Amino acid sequence: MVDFEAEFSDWYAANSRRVSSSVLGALLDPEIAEECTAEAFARAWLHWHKVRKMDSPVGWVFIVAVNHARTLYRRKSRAEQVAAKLQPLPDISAAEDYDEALWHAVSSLSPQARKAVALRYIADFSEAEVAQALGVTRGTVAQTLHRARTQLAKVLNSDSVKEL
Amino acid sequence: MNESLLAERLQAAINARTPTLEQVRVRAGVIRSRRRVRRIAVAAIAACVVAVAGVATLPVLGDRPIASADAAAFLTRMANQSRTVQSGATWFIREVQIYGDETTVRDMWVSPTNVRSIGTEQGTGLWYDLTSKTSIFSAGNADLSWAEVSNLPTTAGDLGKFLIDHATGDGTPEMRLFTLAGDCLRTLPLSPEVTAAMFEVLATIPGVTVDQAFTDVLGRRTAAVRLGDQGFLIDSDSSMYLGEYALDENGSTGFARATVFSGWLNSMADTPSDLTPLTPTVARSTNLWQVNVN
Repeated sequence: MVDFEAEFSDWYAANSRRVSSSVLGALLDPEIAEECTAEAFARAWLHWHKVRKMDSPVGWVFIVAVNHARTLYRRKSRAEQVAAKLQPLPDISAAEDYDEALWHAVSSLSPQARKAVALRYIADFSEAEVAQALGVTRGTVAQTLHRARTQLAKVLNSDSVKEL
Repeated sequence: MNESLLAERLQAAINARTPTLEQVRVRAGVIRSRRRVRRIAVAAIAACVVAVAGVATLPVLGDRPIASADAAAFLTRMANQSRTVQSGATWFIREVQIYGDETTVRDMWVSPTNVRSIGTEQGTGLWYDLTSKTSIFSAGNADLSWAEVSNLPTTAGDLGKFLIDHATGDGTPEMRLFTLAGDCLRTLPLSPEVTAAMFEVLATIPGVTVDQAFTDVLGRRTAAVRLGDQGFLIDSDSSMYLGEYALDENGSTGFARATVFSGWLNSMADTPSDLTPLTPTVARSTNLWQVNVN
């Protein structure tokens, strides 16, 4: 018999960090990202007997987290949403390695492009895996990522562009 | 733009707070409770609908679909058949457990009216006083006392509620309920009425299917009642419980038990002597329930 608990613990230890960072990269809201990541992992644990058999459990958790964020935002009043948008990102900017230019550049991307960028460059997914997780074709992913990189280059200051 | 540098810079810049495994587990418990409250609400609404429309349904799992039509019909037939089985003073099971290369035989008697005891080997086994409040019967993740076992509800609705309350542990609610109900049939001295109600509860679990031509590890043709990668076996002629199995990751049988006999006897002296070609020579095990086969 499979020891689901031990298997889930190992999988969690190996993947929790990159999932959390990918969700934050897609949502750009540390508080919501943390909340949604915890919710998604909890659901993964509850359904582990099914999730473990999926091609990409990490992709599943990412999508559940992002969808949960959508639900949370929907619940928020319009005023709260506006206020939330006006707020800075205190947790990130307080960090020693805060890269303001990059953060600003990523926030200028569309939600779908951010998801693709987060999965491809933070979670280290291949383009095919990103396509599967987002439910689009590989060509669409390649195009989305290309546009995202172009846009990032435009938004970032000239020094940052040279660095990249 | 260089992709690897972008990835490096993004990964360095975006360091999210990661919930601990413990936080995830606590949250899973909250989600489970939330779902349970939702189920209770749905069941209450369903009960109102039943009361108004006069439709007879079992509100065991609320608003979800029941077992497959074949399985529901089969389990209902087994329920009706169980009601015709004679009860007795002593309940006896002999089962063969196969797990990898290891084979063990377990015998168990329960004699509530005569000796009020339960043991692994007639006359010499370890015995329990059934009148104590100790929970000596195990099924699923539940430990039950004799008082609970002997007073199990005889209607599917009430039995379903009891089982849902005791179906704790991991997995989906359906799987937990299925495992507990199957274990009850396997290991508890159930009256014919409770056995019948147990089959009716099983018929309300969504996703349950039946394969009426399943060959078990002893080569017997049985009916396999299944949910996911687990199942238990029934003799479709007598409704006697015949064993259980679980599939491993590769889809082959990773674990199996074959019940050679399960049922009520008039007395312990009536224990059949020719149940199986396996002749267990008893070596006392630290596990109360297992008698090794040499």
